[in-house]
This record gives sequence, C-alpha cells and structure tokens, in this order.
Amino acid sequence: MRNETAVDIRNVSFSFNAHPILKDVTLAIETGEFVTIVGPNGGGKTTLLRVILGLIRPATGTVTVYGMRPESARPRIGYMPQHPQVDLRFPVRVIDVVLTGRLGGPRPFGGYRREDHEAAAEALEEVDLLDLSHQPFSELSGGQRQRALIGRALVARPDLLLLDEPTANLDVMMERELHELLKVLNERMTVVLVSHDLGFVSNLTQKVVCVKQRVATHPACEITNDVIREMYGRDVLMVRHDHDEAGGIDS
Amino acid sequence: MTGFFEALAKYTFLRNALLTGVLASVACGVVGSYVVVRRISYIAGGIAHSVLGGIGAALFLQRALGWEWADPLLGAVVAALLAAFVIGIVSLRVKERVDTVIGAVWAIGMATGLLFLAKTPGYGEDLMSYLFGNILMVRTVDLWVIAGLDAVVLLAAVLFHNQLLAVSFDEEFARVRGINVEFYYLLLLGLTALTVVLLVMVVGIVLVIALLTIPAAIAGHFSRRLSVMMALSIAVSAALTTAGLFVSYDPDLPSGPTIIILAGVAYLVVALASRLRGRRIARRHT
Repeated sequence: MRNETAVDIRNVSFSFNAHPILKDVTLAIETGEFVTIVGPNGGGKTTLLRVILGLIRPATGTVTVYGMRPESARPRIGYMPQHPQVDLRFPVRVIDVVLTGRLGGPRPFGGYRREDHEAAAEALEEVDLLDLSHQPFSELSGGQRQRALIGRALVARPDLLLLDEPTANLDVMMERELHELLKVLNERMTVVLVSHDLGFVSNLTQKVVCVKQRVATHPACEITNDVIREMYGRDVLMVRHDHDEAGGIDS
Repeated sequence: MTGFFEALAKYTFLRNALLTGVLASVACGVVGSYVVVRRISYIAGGIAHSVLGGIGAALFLQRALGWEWADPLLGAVVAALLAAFVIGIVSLRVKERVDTVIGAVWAIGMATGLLFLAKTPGYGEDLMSYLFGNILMVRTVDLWVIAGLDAVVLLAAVLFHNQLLAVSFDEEFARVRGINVEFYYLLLLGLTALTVVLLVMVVGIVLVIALLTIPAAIAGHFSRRLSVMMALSIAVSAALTTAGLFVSYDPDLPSGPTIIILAGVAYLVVALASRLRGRRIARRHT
C-alpha cells in the first residue's frame, strides 16, 4: 500500500467565467503523506480540492486518484466540506449525520444495516462524540460539530481524508484537539487539508502546497519567511486583503 | 355542534370528506417535512398552481369533446408531474434562475387552465371549488385514488428516506458519497407533485402551500429527527383538517379557508410559545 500515489494531478488548468483559477498545476500526493494546501483567499485552494473530488472537471490536464478517475475513487475518499451549508434547524441527530457517510454504496435504497451502525459507533468513538450521538446536531458546539463532520467523513473507512478549512471557527483549545486527532488518523490514512492558517500547518505536515493560481510544493521544514513572502507578499495589498478576510470566514 | 355528528352518521359525503382529510394528511406530513427542510415550498406553490392547467384541459376534453376518461383528477396528476419535471430539469441543467422558472410555470399553468375553462360549457361553479377547495365534493371513487397516491408516496419515502435526508442535509457531501443527487431531487419534486394533487382536493389550489408547510413547520418545533417530524406533522395535519371540517359545518363556512385559518393560528401560537420559551432558557443561561 505504501508508496502508491494517492493523488496525481498533471498540467491541470481551470477557469471560471474566463477568470483563471488554476494554471498548469502538477502535484503528486503519496500514500501516507500529510499535506497542507495553503494560499491566499481566491487563490484556488478549494478549487484544487474540488478537482481531486471530481466535483470540478478541469478544462485541461489529467487528475487521477489511486489510479482512477476521481468519481470512481470516491468510495476511498473521506471528505469534510468547509462549514457546509447546513440549515442548523434541520432535525437530525449526530448519529443520523454520521450515518449518511455510509450511503452511496452498492445498495441504492433501504435502511442502514448493522455494519453501518457499527461503523458509525466506531467513527463517533474516534472523534470522541459517542456520548452525544443522540443529541441534535444543531445543539453541538462549533468544535463538536466540526468533529461530527470528520466522523461522517471517517465512517466509510477512507484511505484518503480531505478536509476543507477544518480550523475555521475553532479556538486554540479545539485546534489542539483537532491536531491530536489528525495525527492519529494520519497513521492509517493520507490526510490533505486546506488551511489559511500557516501556524496550524507546520507541526504535522510533511508537505506544504502553496496555491495562487500556480502551485508550488515545499517540504514543511523549508517554509521560511521567504517562501511566505513569495506566496503572499509580492503585493502588499494582497496580504492585507487576506488578513481582513482570514480573520473571519475564508472562502 | 351535535349537528356535525348527526350529519356525519347520515351523509356519505361528510364521511368521505373526513377520510380525505386524514388520508391526505399522511402524504402531507411526510412530503411536507421534506419540503420544509429542503426549503422548496415555492416550488410546491408553482406546482400547485400549474395543476389548474391540467384540470382545465381535462374538463375541456370531457365536456366539450366528450372524452369520458379525461377525469379532472387525472389531468391534475399529469399537470403536477409535468410542472415538477420542468422545474427540476431546468434548475438542474439550464442554470436558469430557478425562481424565475417557477414563477413562469406557476402563471402559465394558471393561464392554460383559465383558457380551457373559458371554452368549456358550464365551468363557472367548478372554478371556485378548484381554486379554494371543496372537500365535500370528494366522491367515494376519489378516495381510492387518494389512497393509491398515498401508498406511492409512502413507499418511495420509506425506501429512499436515508438518501433523501442526506441530499437535503448536505447536497455536496451526498454527491461526493456517490449518491445520484439529481435523481433524488427529481424524485422529491415528483412526490411533492403527487402530494400537491391530494391537497388540492382538500383545500384547493391557492391554499395548498399553507397546508403542505404549516403542519411540518409546527412539528419541526418539537422534533429532533426528520422521521419524528414526519409522524408529528401527519398528526397535526389530520387534526387541523378534521377540526376545520367540524368548525365550518354548523355556520356553513367554506371548509378550505377554515382549515387554513386554523392552521395559521396554530402555527402562530406554536411559534410565539417557542420564542418565549427560548427567551426564558436564554435568560436562565446568562
């Protein structure tokens, strides 16, 4: 299993309404790696993630995940979207949310089976929400909600975990807990996370991918002020713009 | 007051009306809950009004051309499904602004119905009962159709409950899990169309949207799970239609508007009560 290439992106370009978002991106993510995608807002981080998920088909270039088309590889991918567009009054319990991660298998209809419930209990245990599993999702705190959505991503036992801005809306304590959880998960799966938060990146990450239309890959230890300036600082206005938005909601 | 119960024992039409209300409530509670959580009540409104096109066309064929099989109920089902399909496909594929399309389907359906009815002999008395409902006109044969539509809606909702929940809760995640999001969206609109037809028989085209959403909205205040919300909203809907018939009978009020006014009052009371309670809880926590 090790050394299998999890994600292979070659010469991918993508524009939206004639506005280029990704330009000639080539990137390989190996099995077992912990990769963090950083970059300014609007630089294309989320777009890159959506390309890996097959939600966006790039105009040029090829994308394979475990050697397959992204759509075909989805059963092996666990995904946590960026604060998803969830109606907080939606009547679901934590367990109901997590169980939806078991759908999409070969059975197109019908109820959940015992193995689904077992997998859900396991995932809830892992994210430390087992005792809250029958609570309404809407009554969870921000950090618990984040963990529930990670649980939903884990319940199909993926090989590749993609997280979009998992640190948004978390305080320092919750960030540390998330850190611990991701460290444990990385022992058995490839983890790719998108973050605007460079501080969160450094400890766990082996590889940092900087996205600003083009992509530059650095080993985590080589992230120096020069690299950061290269990525964010060529244009001072750009930096300021980023800080304005990064304090609140990243898009 | 006793007049209602005496009449109930005496008249089939009143028993049919009562049964129609209860049967329609089953589909109404299930589908209404999906409509509320998925926020597609405006689509349900568009489908409801387009039903007049089908009813008008059927009546025209039946009375002006003598096609006996063209029952208004059949016309309503066809028009509702067609409207649902058009709204669904356009919003999925064409990337047109959805509310514009719904508005267009809404008005074109009404206009079609009115044109057909204008050329149908003796339509005048029917129009009002289609627009505002006349549950007392439900025939025994209609009850079987209602029960059949109920069965279709229930079967689909039970078989696909988890998928419909997943798609309604987080569409993008459902797509990444490999769920055919488009199929379930169209299925939901189809089920909404069938339910709308049932409710048209109870409260009429114009008032459908209230009966579809209010019981679910009331139930939503007391439910932590979608399935519980559905069961509760079936009960609320059955209670409201029954109470509406009961209240309207003696003073000879039109039943459709009476049901809707009762529903509106119930919703207002529940919404205010839960607001007050929320404030009290918030105060306790500070």
